Amino acid sequence: MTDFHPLRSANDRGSKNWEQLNKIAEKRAKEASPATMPSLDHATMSDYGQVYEPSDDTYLLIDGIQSDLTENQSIAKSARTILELGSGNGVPITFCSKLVPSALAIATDINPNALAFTKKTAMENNVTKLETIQCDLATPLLESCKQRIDIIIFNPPYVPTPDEEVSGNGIEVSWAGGERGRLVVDRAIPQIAHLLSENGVCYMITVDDNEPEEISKMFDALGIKMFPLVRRRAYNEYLSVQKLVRKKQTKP
Amino acid sequence: MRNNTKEADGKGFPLRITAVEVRVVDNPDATNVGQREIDFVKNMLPVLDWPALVQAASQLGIPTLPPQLTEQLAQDPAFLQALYHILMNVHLVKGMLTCPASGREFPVTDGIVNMMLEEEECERVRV
Ligand SMILES: C[S@@+](CC[C@H](N)C(=O)[O-])C[C@H]1O[C@@H](n2cnc3c(N)ncnc32)[C@H](O)[C@@H]1O
Repeated sequence: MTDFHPLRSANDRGSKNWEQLNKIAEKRAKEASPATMPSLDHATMSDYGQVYEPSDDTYLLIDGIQSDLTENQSIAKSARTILELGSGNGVPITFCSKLVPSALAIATDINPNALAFTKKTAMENNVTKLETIQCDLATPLLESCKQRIDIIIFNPPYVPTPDEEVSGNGIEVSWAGGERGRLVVDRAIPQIAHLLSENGVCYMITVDDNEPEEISKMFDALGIKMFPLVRRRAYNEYLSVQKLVRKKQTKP
Repeated sequence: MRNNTKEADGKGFPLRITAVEVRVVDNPDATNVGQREIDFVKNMLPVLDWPALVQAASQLGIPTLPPQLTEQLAQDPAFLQALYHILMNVHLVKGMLTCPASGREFPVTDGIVNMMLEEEECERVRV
């Protein structure tokens, strides 16, 4: 996103096993056919002073979603609900809704301009089944949507910054992620675990500074398996789309 | 959507709607509702909270939904088409959602619900 920090050194990316998974994800990203961006013809340059402009993380996210939903047709066919936390420009949720036309989409963001823009992006691309809620993460949905969301998308503010920068509802909170870029992500972990349906999937962006292997352990403790789906270097950051699914109870 | 603060005590649902402006996108003209739309509604039926939907629709000026969702209705194409229209084409543009338990109000502007909580409310949110 921005060039605030140096690239992490290679020996700092987690366990052998995690590195192996990263390699597979890099390969998968290379082999995946690039996703076609939804139309953003409604956008003007001044919008991007208020709303996060699609960037390498956005592109990797839709590449990952396309590759995974193509491979797992059953998810795309059966999904009823899509939720994006921090929908920003609306590109990921619009893209995903196109692939899963039978689902109802819900977008949240704390930035009201982002939601107005998300609505326009959806409309521009003939996606009509969209609800928009200005709120923190998915807080108002926790009770009514418990284990009811089939596809969760999250591209959090992940750039390491001083914690104080994570405040307000303007463009800064698009990227400012606090210490290790984890301030917002860590709060989202229990919410995602709570909302994900039995056979649901979540696609979430991380950079290596977030120490994703540690995040995977936090999810593991909540009954959710997380692993890198696609991975790509963009300037000074290694971006990954992490895929999350509920661990199946193994029958004795 | 629900009000999850402690005042609401698990009863923050369904939110009461006060509509100021409702926009209805095209007519409930049966000809523009195809099989795909019907499939969508069928797919959604099991996750709809029917009484809440009936209440919401009537607060949006549509008092015609039956109080009970019967097996027979769930198979009726004409009913499913009408339901599709209510679900997808009736939008609350401006108004207020009110929590039935605490009275807390959430404004709707340009079709976007504002459910931001004040800091002291956040501490009482139940996960
Ligand atoms: C990196 S941008 C991603 C935008 C878009 N989804 C994409 O992939 O291009 C992060 C978004 O999350 C929003 N956001 C930040 N903190 C949030 C919070 N606590 N709750 C909801 N949204 C938040 C920001 O306003 C911003 O739109």
